[in-house]
Amino acid sequence: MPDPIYMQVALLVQLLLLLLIPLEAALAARGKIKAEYELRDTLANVAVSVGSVFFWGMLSWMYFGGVLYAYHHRWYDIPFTWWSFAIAFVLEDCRYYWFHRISHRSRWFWASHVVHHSSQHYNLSTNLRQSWTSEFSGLTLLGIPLAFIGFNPALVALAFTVNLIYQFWIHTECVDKMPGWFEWLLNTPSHHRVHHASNPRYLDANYTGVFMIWDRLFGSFVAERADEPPRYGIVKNLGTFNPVRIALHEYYAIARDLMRRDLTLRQRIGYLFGPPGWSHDGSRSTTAQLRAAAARVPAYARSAASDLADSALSVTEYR
Amino acid sequence: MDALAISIGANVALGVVLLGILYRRRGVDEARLTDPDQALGQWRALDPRAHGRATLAADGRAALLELDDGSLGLVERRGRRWAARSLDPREIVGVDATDDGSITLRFADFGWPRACVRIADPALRRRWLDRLGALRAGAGPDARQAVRDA
Repeated sequence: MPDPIYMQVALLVQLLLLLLIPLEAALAARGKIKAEYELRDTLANVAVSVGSVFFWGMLSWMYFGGVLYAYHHRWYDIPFTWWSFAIAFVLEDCRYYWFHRISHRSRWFWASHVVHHSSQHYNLSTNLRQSWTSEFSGLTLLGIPLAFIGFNPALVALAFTVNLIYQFWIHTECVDKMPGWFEWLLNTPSHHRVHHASNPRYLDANYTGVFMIWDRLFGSFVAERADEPPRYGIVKNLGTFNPVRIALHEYYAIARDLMRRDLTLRQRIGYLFGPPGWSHDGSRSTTAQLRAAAARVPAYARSAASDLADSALSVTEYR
Repeated sequence: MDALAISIGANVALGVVLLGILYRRRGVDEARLTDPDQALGQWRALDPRAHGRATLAADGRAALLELDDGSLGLVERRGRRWAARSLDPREIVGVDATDDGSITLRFADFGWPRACVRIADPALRRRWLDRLGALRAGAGPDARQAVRDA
């Protein structure tokens, strides 16, 4: 096993990054930068973070157990070097993209991930609002294939941690746009604001952790528009700042749906694994339905057409 | 385990620091509804084509909506933001009037357990209480139609 000093350094970096949160809040309070903090929302973020760290500490053996088992049955022996880290980092980012996409497209996984999207504010403290149930949902097992291939589990964990560290700075409104090449290649505050927005145009977009290539490749990239500021939060926003309710509300909603007596097995599976907003009687709306409804509003339809033109331009520009 | 304790400790310390920074600005710039169109504008985040009438709470913190499709909605302040929800009879578990002129709604929703709307006009408050009570009493479509027709 490699020296665990890498992980200790990663932990130290994460702790140092936390200092940027009060800095952003203090500068925003003095009107020096664009950022909006609200006391109850921010304290809820911190409280959710404490729970998230606690449950990660208690349940991460499930992830590490799976990864170590896979590594024990690995196909190749890949050494722990800078180049293997570079390859693992790119592959890990691709894994993250699919982990994240599935987290948004299937309600069971969304129940875990929705926590991160449930704030109606968007600032560095939004980083803290993380799931309590990421191990429990089972989706972290997507990390296993890298260990099966033969990447050292410590290398996989390091790549995952560096990926998360990169994503810290993009949770902010105080950075408008980065240079064009940077916006094209990497995830930025602008791209991630879109990801956290609940405007129909912006829903289910920009899943990437670091390299925007995955969103461009798999058709989920949406650019931020100057004429449509992001409206942060979820389609049906929460009416509470209670961290337990924030962390578990969607599981409660799933349980309520599953306990209905008038459903077939197929419909129950739909409520559990179907897209968020799916319902057997059409009484709710999925992302696709919300977008279709918004497209029937003339002003929205006109700007959607101009979106298509913009995305064609962006492909031409960087081809 | 050390890393876990350090991480939790760092989060708690961060919470204390943020409390110190943000406490003085608590309640500043809180959102307030001053006009029924503003409430409908917030509702249109859920349904861009919605039209209807809004009854604003006396303190500007919430609004009850009667939409043209016959359904009812609620817009309520969450600090500087607004949250909106449809008043689905299957999710309403209680409608109570309080002495200060408020209507308290309790929902079977873990993420939004209750809402409070203060309506100063007693007649208007009575009308909303009757309407919400009837909505809750009959969750079926026939009952909802009866409420609309009332």
